[in-house]
Parts: sequence; structure tokens; C-alpha cells
Amino acid sequence: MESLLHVLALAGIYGLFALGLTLIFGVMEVLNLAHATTFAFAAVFAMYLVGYAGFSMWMGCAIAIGSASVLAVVIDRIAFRPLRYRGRTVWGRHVGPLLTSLGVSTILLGLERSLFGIDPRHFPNELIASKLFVLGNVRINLIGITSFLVLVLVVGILIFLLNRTRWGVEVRAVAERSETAALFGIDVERRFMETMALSGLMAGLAGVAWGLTFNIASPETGAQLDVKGFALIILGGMGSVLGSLIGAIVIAAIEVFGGLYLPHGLQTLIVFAMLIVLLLLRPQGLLGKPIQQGAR
Amino acid sequence: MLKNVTARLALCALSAVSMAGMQPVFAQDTVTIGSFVSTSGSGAPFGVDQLQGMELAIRHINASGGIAGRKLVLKQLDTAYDKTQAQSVVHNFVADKSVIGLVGPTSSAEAFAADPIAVAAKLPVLAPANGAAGIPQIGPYVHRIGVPEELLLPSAAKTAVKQLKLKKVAILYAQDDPFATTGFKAFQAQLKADMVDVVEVIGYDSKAVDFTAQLQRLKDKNPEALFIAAKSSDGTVLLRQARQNGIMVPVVGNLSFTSPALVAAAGDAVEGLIVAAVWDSSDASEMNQRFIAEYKKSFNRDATPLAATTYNCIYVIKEALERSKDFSREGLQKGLLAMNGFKYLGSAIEFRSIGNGLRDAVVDVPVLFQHRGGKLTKMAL
Repeated sequence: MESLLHVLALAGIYGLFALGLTLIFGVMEVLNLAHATTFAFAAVFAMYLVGYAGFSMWMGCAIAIGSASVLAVVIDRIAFRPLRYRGRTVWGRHVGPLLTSLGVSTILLGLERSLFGIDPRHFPNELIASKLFVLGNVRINLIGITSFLVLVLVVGILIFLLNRTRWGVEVRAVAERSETAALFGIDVERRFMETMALSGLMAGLAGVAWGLTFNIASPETGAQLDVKGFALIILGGMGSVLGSLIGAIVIAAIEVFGGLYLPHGLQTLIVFAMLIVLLLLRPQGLLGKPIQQGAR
Repeated sequence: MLKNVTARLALCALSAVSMAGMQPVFAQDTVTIGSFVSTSGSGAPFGVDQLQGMELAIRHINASGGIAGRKLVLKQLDTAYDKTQAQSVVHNFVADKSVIGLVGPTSSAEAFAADPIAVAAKLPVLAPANGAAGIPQIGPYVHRIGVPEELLLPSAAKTAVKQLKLKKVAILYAQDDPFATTGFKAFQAQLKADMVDVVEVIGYDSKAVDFTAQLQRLKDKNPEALFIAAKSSDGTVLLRQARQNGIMVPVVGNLSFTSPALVAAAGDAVEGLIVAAVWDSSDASEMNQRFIAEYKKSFNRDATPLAATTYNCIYVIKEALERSKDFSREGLQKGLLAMNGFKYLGSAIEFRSIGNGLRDAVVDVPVLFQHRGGKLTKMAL
């Protein structure tokens, strides 16, 4: 039972992280390599605000999450917007933004190191429960479970917004064909900005959840989720919000149960082996849309 | 006119060449030692202690007239707990002819990467706390001052087994770090010699932060104690999560657990933690009490075993130079080789031959401490 709960705790963090990535890919068709840096920023900034700047836990975490959202918009302005309408080739549409996001990520990492230092940070011990909540014989990581519930809530809200609101219709129109959406009077740039802000919010939530769960973070923390996050969105289906939830649970389960029954290090091997098999059998991922030749 | 111009140009060129060939003038009244410890990165909790220990020793030595009337100067370059940076730093020191010896680095991994550069340049290196196996074997210019894990940890394990009457235990170690791997092997060998059943051995990645699965696996085996050979902050995270997962048995830790910063980060998870050291803060000797009092006054924190070891390193350099009376790199090396050991802060350390002209630091009697009620309590051996 404890293992199952731990799967949910990990899935909460991974899912929130991947949700941000999948949103950007789904709407803007770019892979944001600065997403992990935003995630690490949120974790470290929250610890800095609470541990050193004297903010309360709630206020510090809220400011960190909000700042991550703003940072994501700034990343869009620097890395993606300048290239948005220039590329008509694969290079211009996908590879260029990928490379600029890598550059921005490197710069951000350097800035984070100089602002917060390289040393791992943590929340003050008196503010973080040193013992888990015990129900009968079962130890429950309340923060982890909360992360998972937040993930489910966010997925639900996003699905509702995307399918049942005018805003969602506009975002889906922009995702389908931004030039045509603009012709219909949709403010495409505003939708892109909102998508980036939302993805930053997801990264911020994931970062703060990470910090509260493990009570350790540094600017390098993002590297731990970078590759995993991409594996997750490929598994779940790139651009699929629900796919992020499923992918997060699958990968978290492999990690936890793999750690219980397999020699160290095999869990990662299994995740990527599974990914290769899945891509061979179902290239669009579990819940992604099938790729149609000549559709664009 | 042209001849005059040519002559003047030739004179200028000659002056430039001769100035370039001149050696920089060093002050005859200083002795410069290079320090390459980590004051940033995950090794910062250890490196800062080490640097402060050296700074205090230098202050004390200079206050009593220096070394044969020469002022001792320390040049610190940060390695950031990174092997590549450690190499760059040592290259820097090798090129700086004013530096006659080095103290550092903080980690064994950095030592394996950077010390060969110093050895090739015949620049003596005093290794304060590089506890992995193979450090003295890097070369004859590497002098280990801190007692290696393979000698300290068996004492810790033996005492823990005897006092806690242990029959079955588990070992966890950071398998991607040579220092932690040496600690693991030292624990394993002693536990085997004491006929203690090691029910589980878990190697983990020192960069990991989630050990829940491994700890749950281990919990099912009901060990009576955990032996942890960590790299740095991974030990703190592991300790916290062990307690969170209901594993409340005593923990015997390696040198990583002696850092006050990391112990503070672990909070009340350190209760019951046992660590071995060669320095006893309760030693009533005048030098020790002065060190403790002035460390507290200067840095507003309690002195640590790591600080005591680098304090010793500076005094060892002083003794070596006073023996050789030669303030060069070779002079320091000769002086170090002429020493059979030292006793400044902590236990008496002997430089014992390990063959091939190499030596290592050994101690007969280490000190064991246990965290109890928020305090470090000395354990009887």
C-alpha cells in the first residue's frame, strides 16, 4: 500500500512537470528545453524565500510558482517568439526553437547559480514534517498525495477549459493552424503567451512539490527530470493532457516497483526500453493522435 | 636619422626581451601555500570547514612569528566539488611559482583527477580528508594527512557491533563515488570479520533524492542497524527518508556525516547516528582548547573534525619547512618525508610505509561519537 501511495506521490510531481511540456508542444509545436530550469528555479526560489527572506511557507511557495509562470513568458519572448514566423522548414519550425531554448536554459542556469549559489538548499526543518502521517500501519506522504490530487485537478480543469470554453476553442484552433486562427480574429500571440504562462505555472507547481517532498533542491535539480519529462510526454502522447497523467503514473510505477524488486539502475533501462517498444508499435504514444501523412 | 630611429627601436626591443626574461620578484619574507577546497557546490559544507581551519592555523602561526620569520600566506581557489575545475585550479597553482605546496582537495574524486598534475610538476600536496583507497598511490608528492576511511570505518563498525550487540545489518552507499565505495568496502570487510549478517547491500546514485523504494525493500529485512557510506548531501536525504519510512535503528555513518551543515539539514533524523573521527573536541590540551575557542570566536560556529584536519595540515607544513630550512617545493617535500608523523589536534598520526616509497596516515585510536538528544556524545571504545 505504501508503495502505491509513493507511486501517486511521484506521479504528481512528474505529471505536473510533463503537463507544462505537453502544453507547449501541443499548442506551439516546440520542445522547451528551458522547462527543467524553470522547474528548478521554482524549487530553489521557494526555499530561498522561506528559509532566508523570511516569507511564510504559503507566501514563499505562491510567489515562487507565480514567478515561474512569469519566467516562462520571458523564455517565450527570448527563445521562441523571434523565430515564430520565420521558419517554414522543419529546421525553422522545430529545431531552431529547440536550440534557442537550450541556449536560454544555459543562461538561466548560470543566473540561478549566481543568484542562489550552487549549494543544495532546503526548507527550514521546523517547517517540514520529519515524520509521515501514519494511518494504521500505512505511512502516508501527505505532500505527495496532495501533489497527485493537484495534478488530477489541474488535468480536469485543463480538459474542461480546452473542450468547453471559448478560450479552449481558440487555443485548439491556434494549435491546429495558427495562421488560419489569426485570420478568424483570434489573438494568436496572446494564446501563445497564456500557454507559456500555464506551462510555467505547471513547472512551478512541480518544483514546489519536489521541494516539499524531498526537501532538497539546487539549480541542477532540473537535470533529474529533463529526460524523464520528455520520455513521459512521448509515452503519454505528445500534446495530450490526459496522456501526461497516464505517462506519469506508468513511469512512477516502474521506478517504485523497479526499485523494490530490481537491481539499482534497471528502472531507467526499463523505462527507455518500453519507450522504444511503444514508439515502434504506437508512435503517437498512448493517447496521442495518430500521425497522418499529408495532413498538413 | 634613420640610423637613430633603428637604434632606438633596437634598444626598445632589447629592453622588452630582457624584461620578459626577468623572473618576478617574490617577497623573501612570505611562504605561499595553495588551497584547493570546495567552497561551492555540494562539497561546500566540507570545504568551508576546511578553509576556515587553514585560515585559523595561518593566523596562529603568523601571530607567533611565522615560519622562520617568514609570513605564511594562503591562496584559495575553489574547485566547486568538480573534477575538471580541480584540474584547472591545480594547473594554475603549478604555474604560480610562489606556491610551494597545496592543501586539498575536498573529495577523493577531485584528488584522483587533479593530484597527478601536481605530482608531475613535483608540487607537494597535503590531502586533508581524501579517504578513498589509492590516494597515496597517486604519487610520492601526495601526503595524506587525514586517516583514510579504510582505517577509521572498521573501528566504527567494530565498536557499533560490540556495543549495540548487532547480529544483522544493512549497508547503503553511493556507488558512483570512490570515497563512498571505499567506505562501503571497509564496512563490509569489518562486518564480515565480526560475523555480522549483512542482510542487504544497496548501492545508489549520489544525485538521487528519492530512496523510498530502496528503504522499503530494506525495511522488510529488519536490519538492526544501517551502515551508510554517503558522498555528501545524499547522506542527509537518505537519513531523513529512512526515519520518515519508520526505520529508526541506529545508523553508522562515514566522514560525510561529520559536517555540521549537513547534520543540521537532517534535523532530528540524526538521533542515534554514530560517526568516527580522529579529533576529540573534549581533549583538554591547550592547543585544542585554543583552537575550539578561537574558531568559535572567528567564525561564529563550532569547530569540526574537517577543520581540525586542515589546521593540522598547516602545522605539518610548518614543521616540514622548519626541518628542511628550504622554502621551495623540493624543500617542503624533503621536510615532509623526514617526518614520521605528527600530533597537533586530535590523535597522534603516524606516516607508515605502504611500499614503493609511499606512505599513508594511520592512527591507533580513533574517536567515536553518537548523536544523542541534539548533542554529539563520545562513545567508549
